[in-house]
Amino acid sequence: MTSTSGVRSQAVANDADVAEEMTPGNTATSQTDWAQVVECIRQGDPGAQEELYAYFGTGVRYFLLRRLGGDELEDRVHDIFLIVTEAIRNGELREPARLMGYIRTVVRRTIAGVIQEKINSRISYSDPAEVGFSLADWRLDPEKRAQQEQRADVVRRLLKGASRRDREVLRRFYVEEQSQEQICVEMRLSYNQFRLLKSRAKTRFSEMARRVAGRMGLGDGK
Amino acid sequence: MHHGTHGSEEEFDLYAMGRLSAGRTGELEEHLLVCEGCRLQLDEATGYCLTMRQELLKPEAPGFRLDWNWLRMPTVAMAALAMLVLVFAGWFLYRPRTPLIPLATIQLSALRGEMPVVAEARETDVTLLDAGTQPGSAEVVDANGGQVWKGPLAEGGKLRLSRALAKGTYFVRLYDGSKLTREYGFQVR
Repeated sequence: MTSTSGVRSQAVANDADVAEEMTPGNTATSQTDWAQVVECIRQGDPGAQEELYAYFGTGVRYFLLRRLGGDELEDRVHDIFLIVTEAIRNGELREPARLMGYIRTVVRRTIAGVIQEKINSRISYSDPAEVGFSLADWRLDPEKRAQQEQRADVVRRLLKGASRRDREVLRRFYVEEQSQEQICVEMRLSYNQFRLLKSRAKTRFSEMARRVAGRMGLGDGK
Repeated sequence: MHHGTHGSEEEFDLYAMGRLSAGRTGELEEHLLVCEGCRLQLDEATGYCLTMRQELLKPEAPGFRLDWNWLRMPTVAMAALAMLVLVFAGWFLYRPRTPLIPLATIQLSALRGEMPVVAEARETDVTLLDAGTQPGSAEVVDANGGQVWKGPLAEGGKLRLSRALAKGTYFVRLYDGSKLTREYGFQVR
């Protein structure tokens, strides 16, 4: 059985790459030898499993929270890592280098499965209101709801100050979901003008949100 | 093993709206699994896009709405600037001033000394104390010699300047025929 400490020592091979690609919260690096980690897991090394969990746990949790909310979060994270490690042990992961892609696939399948389950259970209810459950509810706890209201207020003020033309461009992009090519042609804008308009609105939003958050003591206003 | 590149602002917007290409979505999601900074940026982009969409879906508040975008056109901006200059010049020339008193009086003597002062008024009565009783004509000129008033001198050395005099120094000249006999000075303040 190979110790994972060896994997770790190889992992920190290039500090410059680490600084460029990773943020301080992550322990592994872009140089991690996943083939070795996969091999260790295959041999039942609990240290390798821990390493896998430590590296991807936050990201997996993020996607689950984003799409499903906090319900049964830890159970789902656990299930996902169980599926991944089982797949490795059973030799289903043929290319260890594709480990990250495989984890992403398992996360996506889990999310899709839960959503399908919720849809089915909602259909079986006689009164859909009793379910009291929607995608939006998953994301908006009271704190987030307050932040959402604050954001809406800032956007309202931003749109009030925007010209009709700017508003029209934003409406086409965010509501009608037109492509930027179509918007540029129909509104007679160059790509740079379009990009600048969108970016200016966003920067203004961030500044206003920061000011409001500062006044209300709501943190960074995100 | 490469963990992909950080997402751009544009890509986060498109991802948040579910409009990023499938290929790039895969790459970005794999990167998001390991990059805290990009996750924060995506959260911000998602909040912004959702809110923007919701607010843009609401009907615009009724009422008159000014659109100043056309002012950005250079020709319009120049014309507006010229108009502004004209309006300012007009205001400056015809700006309302302190109302003048209807009539001011001043008595002048040909003796040398400090120049008498009179307030600005719509009309000014001037009395020349030592003009004598001889009839003659008088002329009022400003500091540059420009004629302000000309007419016969009334009895008692009186004359009435029936127009308002601007602030400055003036001289009253007395003539006997065409001969200058006396000169008086005064100031309007």
